[in-house]
Amino acid sequence: MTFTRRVLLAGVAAAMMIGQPMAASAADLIAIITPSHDNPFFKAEAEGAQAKAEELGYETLVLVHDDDPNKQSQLFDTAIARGAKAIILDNAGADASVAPVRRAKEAGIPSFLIDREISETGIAVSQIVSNNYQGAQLGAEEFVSLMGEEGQYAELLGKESDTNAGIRSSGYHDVIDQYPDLEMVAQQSANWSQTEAYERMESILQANPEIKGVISGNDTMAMGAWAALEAAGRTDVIVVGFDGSNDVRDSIKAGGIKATVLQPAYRQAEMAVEQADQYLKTGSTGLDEKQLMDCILINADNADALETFALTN
Amino acid sequence: MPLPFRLTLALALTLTSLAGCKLVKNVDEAGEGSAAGGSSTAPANDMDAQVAAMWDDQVMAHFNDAATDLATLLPAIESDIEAAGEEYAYRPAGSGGAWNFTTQFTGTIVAADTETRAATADVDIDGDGAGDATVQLGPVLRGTALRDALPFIDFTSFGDQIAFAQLSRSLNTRAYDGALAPLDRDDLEGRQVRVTGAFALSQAGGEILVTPVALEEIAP
Repeated sequence: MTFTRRVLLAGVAAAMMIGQPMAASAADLIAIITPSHDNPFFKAEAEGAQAKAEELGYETLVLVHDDDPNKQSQLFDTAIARGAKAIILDNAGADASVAPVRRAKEAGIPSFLIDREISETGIAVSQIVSNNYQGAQLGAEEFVSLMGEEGQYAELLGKESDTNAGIRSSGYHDVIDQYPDLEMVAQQSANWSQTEAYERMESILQANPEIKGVISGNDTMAMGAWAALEAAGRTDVIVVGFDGSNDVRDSIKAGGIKATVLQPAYRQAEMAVEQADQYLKTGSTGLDEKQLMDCILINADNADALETFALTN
Repeated sequence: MPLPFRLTLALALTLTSLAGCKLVKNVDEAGEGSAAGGSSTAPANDMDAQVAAMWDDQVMAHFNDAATDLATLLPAIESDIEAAGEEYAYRPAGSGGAWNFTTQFTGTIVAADTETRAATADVDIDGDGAGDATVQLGPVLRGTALRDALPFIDFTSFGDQIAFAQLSRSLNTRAYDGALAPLDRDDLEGRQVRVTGAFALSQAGGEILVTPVALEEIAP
């Protein structure tokens, strides 16, 4: 209790200090916390944030929480202890991330969220959220059209604990379920994983040889499914992914996977840093806390323009 | 107008993240305030009821007030979509996304695709025989232009993307039921229609895909 009160008092004092506009100096530190860079999507986020922060004269501290809320909490303590001026975060869970973001706020450190939202407003300064639902609708519209509005299909779901797994699935079904001649014969989680998706796809194919399409919650699972379909000689099956990775881009260009949906990860991370910079200099971003960023359909028509989660003109 | 609507909707949905509401922020700053409940998602039928309640007085009222003749919009978009957007359209904050135009026009259907459930009709407004806008006929309506064209709706007042998406779905459903379901889909070509609706556009030259809130056939 005493401890909590002391922290709160310190937080109030720090909050009063941070309330004053202050100029960024070369020594100011921005912490960038994302899931593991093993997934190129998160690597692009971290790189986008880091490049923009350094361009604006900040030092950076790049950390990964591996989607582990406990680890994320420790990383927040690290960022606070290191005296970070702002935190850029792709969070490890909508509910579990509320406490560390609040703790940072109480220590006078504003957080700028990217990609995924947390379940409270008023504690982060910005939440720049990928509109996964809109993106999933785009992917589903393309999928439905490729399927000719009929036939059997399977869905690969992401990791259940990740909000986006559910949001994407809802977005897919919001569209697909309006077509009565499309029949879902299997719906399984492959936990965002390529190897798990490969295994799931093998068993789904065995049980449902008539399958005509696969809609996947992300690109890594789409890659796994496609590898299994190729191995089984079923390259006639329509596969649609989500994320806009270079791997899937290359598959689309080679006539494999048919489509994916780009989340503009790199640009989003840059925007978060720009807003942090604006906030540190003026005390306000001038924008709403929650900002929804639309996703973009990628297919054979525009795959050429896709590079590292950004679309060039 | 905006604020009461936002409050009513947010309260009715028991979504507690009231945008710009100082009360929430103060509670948070006080320390352990468990102000926002967040991830609660309203059942779709609640959203349908909300949309039904706001349809005439807010949605249709906005369209009737704000809709610009398509014949005015098209050249303005062609010459400078940013300027046209500033003058005639709405773009929700932060997204860097599309402009959402509200429009009305009268024209002749020159082509129709009713083989798909996402049926459309191309409407010629200037008599040159070429379609100037593609009007969605449903029953599947693509996109969120209706929701995103309404300046009194904002994402921060919603608990999450799913609730926000449900609003769009309910608006589209209401539009279909009211404006499109009664339409006779046989032999659409050559028929004259008056359309009020919305379309989203991020760059000139893109498809003008209109989601109607009103579509009536007029005698030739």
